[in-house]
Amino acid sequence: MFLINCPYCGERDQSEFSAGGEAHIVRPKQPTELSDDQWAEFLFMRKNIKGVQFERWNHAHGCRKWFNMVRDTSNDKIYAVYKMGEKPPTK
Amino acid sequence: MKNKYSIFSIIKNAFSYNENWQRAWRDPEPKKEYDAIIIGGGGHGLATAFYLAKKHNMTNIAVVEKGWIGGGNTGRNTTIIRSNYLWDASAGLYDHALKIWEGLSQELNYNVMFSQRGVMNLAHNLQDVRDLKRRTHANRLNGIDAVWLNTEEVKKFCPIINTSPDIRYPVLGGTLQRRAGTARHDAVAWGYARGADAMGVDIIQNCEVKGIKRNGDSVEGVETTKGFIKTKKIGVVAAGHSSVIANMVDLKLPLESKPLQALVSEPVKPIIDTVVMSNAVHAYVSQSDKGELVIGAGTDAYVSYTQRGSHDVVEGTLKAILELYPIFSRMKMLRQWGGIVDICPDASPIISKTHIKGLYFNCGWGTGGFKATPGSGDLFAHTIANDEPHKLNADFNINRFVSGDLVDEHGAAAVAH
Amino acid sequence: MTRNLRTANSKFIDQTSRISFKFDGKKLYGFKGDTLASALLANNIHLVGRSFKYHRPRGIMACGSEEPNAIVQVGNDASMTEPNTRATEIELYEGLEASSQNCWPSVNFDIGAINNFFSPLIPAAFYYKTFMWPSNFWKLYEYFIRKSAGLGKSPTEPDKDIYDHRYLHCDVLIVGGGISGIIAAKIAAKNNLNTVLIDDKNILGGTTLFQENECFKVNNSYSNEWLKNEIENLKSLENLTIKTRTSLAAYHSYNYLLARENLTDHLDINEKKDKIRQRLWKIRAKKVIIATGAMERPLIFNNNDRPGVILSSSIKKYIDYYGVKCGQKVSLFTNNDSAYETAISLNNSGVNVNSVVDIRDKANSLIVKQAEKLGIKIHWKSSVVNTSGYKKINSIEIMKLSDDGTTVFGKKIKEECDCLGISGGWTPRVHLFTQSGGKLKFRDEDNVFLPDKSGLDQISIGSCNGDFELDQIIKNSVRLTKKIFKN
Ligand SMILES: Cc1cc2nc3c(=O)[nH]c(=O)nc-3n(C[C@H](O)[C@H](O)[C@H](O)COP(=O)(O)OP(=O)(O)OC[C@H]3O[C@@H](n4cnc5c(N)ncnc54)[C@H](O)[C@@H]3O)c2cc1C
Ligand SMILES: [Zn+2]
Repeated sequence: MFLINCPYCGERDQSEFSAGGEAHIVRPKQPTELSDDQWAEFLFMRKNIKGVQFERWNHAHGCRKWFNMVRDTSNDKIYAVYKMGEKPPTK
Repeated sequence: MKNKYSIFSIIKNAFSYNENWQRAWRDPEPKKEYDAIIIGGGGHGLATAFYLAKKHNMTNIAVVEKGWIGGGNTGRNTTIIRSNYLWDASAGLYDHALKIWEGLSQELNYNVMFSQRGVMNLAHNLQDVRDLKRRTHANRLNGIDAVWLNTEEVKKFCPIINTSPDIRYPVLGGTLQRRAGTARHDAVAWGYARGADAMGVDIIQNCEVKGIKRNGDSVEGVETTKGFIKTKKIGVVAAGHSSVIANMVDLKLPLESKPLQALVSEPVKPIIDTVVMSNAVHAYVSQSDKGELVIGAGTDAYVSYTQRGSHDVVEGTLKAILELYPIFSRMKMLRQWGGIVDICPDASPIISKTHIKGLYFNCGWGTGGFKATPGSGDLFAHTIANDEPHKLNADFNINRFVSGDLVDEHGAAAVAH
Repeated sequence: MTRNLRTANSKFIDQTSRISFKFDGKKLYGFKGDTLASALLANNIHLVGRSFKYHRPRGIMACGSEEPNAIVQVGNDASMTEPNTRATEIELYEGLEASSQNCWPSVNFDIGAINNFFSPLIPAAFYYKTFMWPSNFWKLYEYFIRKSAGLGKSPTEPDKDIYDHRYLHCDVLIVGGGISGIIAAKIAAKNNLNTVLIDDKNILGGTTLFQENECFKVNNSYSNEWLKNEIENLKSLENLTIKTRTSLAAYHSYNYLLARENLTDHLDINEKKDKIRQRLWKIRAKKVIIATGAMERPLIFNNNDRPGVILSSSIKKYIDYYGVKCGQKVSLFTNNDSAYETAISLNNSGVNVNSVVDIRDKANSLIVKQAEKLGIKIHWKSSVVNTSGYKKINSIEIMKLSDDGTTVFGKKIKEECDCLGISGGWTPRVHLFTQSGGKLKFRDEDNVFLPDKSGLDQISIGSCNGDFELDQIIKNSVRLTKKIFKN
């Protein structure tokens, strides 16, 4: 049960948020032009990292906004949160 | 040769104060090279090794396990075994396993306490009723025993369920697979380990795979905490850690690893003698032979390798349990834990070759792979030995995510278990 | 009630208000302030249950949440009965009904005890090795295995009680109201921090409350007197909330903790009505101070599980706190000084102490000298090797230990007793720390695991951090508490 510092609302209990999976997977502009392999890569394949991972979260029971988070999945330690469209922090 | 377990061996050993029991398996140091290496000493990995040795004569093989055997999801699961899945491919796979379960204690000469006391899935709304009836029909077409029970029949089969019409999620009926049930999880790992060891398989514990050595398109061996071990065939059966190993060879899998929780109460005298599951309220309960209520909760919605899980998930489950079984309100929970489950987008497993020669993956069992342990081991052994899938696991290859031939079992995979 | 098992000077028992209760259908009496365990002991009832597998007789062994044996069923109403409850944690109330578990037809005459006779045939893991023939018979075998497993009985009707849950946010949560927790609470609250102190007992003070001996003094007064005064002073601190009868049940990441507060379990049966029974506290604390103390270890010897074999510190608590004699002729077996505190307490209350069996060569601490001065017999460098008495211990056998301590030799000395106190040293209660994800280290001198690394903003102080001497506990509790508020 971690605490998440929503970039819009501040620190709140994890139960107010929902997770949206790996961040920065860009939706292809022209899906029809992709090969099956590329489409599968976009749709299904994930790094599923044990360690520091970039991911999307939504403050579902709060401001309902999406944002990004840098979290270590091996101990749930959160390193940073940043808004959609902002550059991910480099260390 | 292993001494056989029997009533006579028990009497004989009683006379020597139980001091002369043979070790159930050896504790060997890794050899320089094996014909095949299985990564992961859970039930699936050990079963794979057992059938490689037994059916395919591959005895110069090793299982490497980073902790202790059965310490992963095998030792953390709620042991529900059933085969009432929707699609033909899944029915084939899970019922193959169920048939092996039925003779497993004798095959292993190790009592895995497989107990066919039935698994019932409840329906709480009209859509549940339709889905479950459809599944019952599909099961029967595949020769899998399944019956539909109305509310009175549900109550008769399991009298402690609250079937009152004025609860939040009233019970409108349910399906029952009588051949389904539970088994003793640790015994499954230990029984397969003992059997494999007897045929010469090295089971190497406290040995973590840190890297995979490749030569072009094929594998050459594994880097472990006990040094490099050469091999031409690697079978990965690492459950929640499958992606970690795939990342060692820059392979991406369609998996997310999430904590799944379960909990048990203090032991009480028999009060429920079947397994009851409910998708809508996301809870299920059974009672172990020791007397503990075994309760399964859901997964957290985010990737985590911490093996703990959030409290709100467990709380939600217990609220549902108390609505369906208000008599359990004063029972005390004894232990609660999490396991890391590897979830596939279509809630079906992967038993497959990869584009790297000699590298095989058996993963994606997510919240419900214990029931498949014997079948999964058997089919994966076949795949590794022949470098080709058995017809029962052909549909469960990695390429289905490219071709789009998904085996969507979200309905039957049910409440995470 | 057997009068002569109560001493007159029980400090925490109100001997003017008598309470009636039932155990296994028999009407008995205790006093306000008793636990079910202390009241049973005062009635000379030791045998309270049967072991899980071999059905060996089980007696009360401890005094608190560490009790492994005295696990009983409370109530017999189909909706309000509660299985597997520790007799040592049940506060006695008018109308309490409890019964022993896992025995049939009764705890005194238990058919299942035949398993004890056959125990060589049912070694550990025997289930896996048998019941496989004929293959379709498992269903039948399992039916009987299931029937004989399990301890208490589940209710069969819905619970009529009301429950509640609440959120609590604080700067500091202190778990454990013993001497170190009280020191920390004072420092935290005086630092203007919103502080919460919880303890699972009904009063604060922990083990030090029973420590009334000139060997243990703080600022020239007995440690228990000093502590009582400190507790009194806590009441004037405004930003301190104290919650008793509250057990911490879970320690999740990011200092999220769950605690269960018992609100009505101690009330008389007709006072409980329409009140909230228990409250779940969901606590988010900026800092957590674990001060859960230590528990005494048992010692290993043949038949060390008989009713009447009790942890030595528990015997002391029963005599000093509840005024209950666990026996009339008590022997003690120890590897450290703690058992001598018990010997002195017993002696002061007029209980006959047979002897102290000590595995050490000799000890020269003040407390041991005190015991020697009182004329208490000590078997140095000796060990208890066996006990007898089926439903209650009636004698022990003592032998000399060899120089290296690995074998025994010489003549067996038989000593009659009706109670054996055992003390194998102390084990810090590190459970909460490890549950929070903390890693332990091992201290070789006294073979204990201690808190080491943690990723959370928390500390452990006092005995749960491996401090066992009074001055050490005070000094380090102050130092560590001040330190955690600096960062
Ligand atoms: C709470 C819970 C309840 C469940 N309930 C059910 C149920 O009721 N019914 C059901 O059918 N299924 C259930 N499951 C799912 C089931 O437990 C799993 O699908 C199944 O046990 C997986 O078996 P396995 O052998 O593949 O994995 P595991 O038993 O997890 O074995 C994998 C092993 O790989 C080892 N490993 C990982 N990385 C490495 C490395 N680098 N080097 C060496 N070794 C490594 C791990 O230590 C581990 O021992 C449940 C799971 C959980 C967590
Ligand atoms: Zn927000």
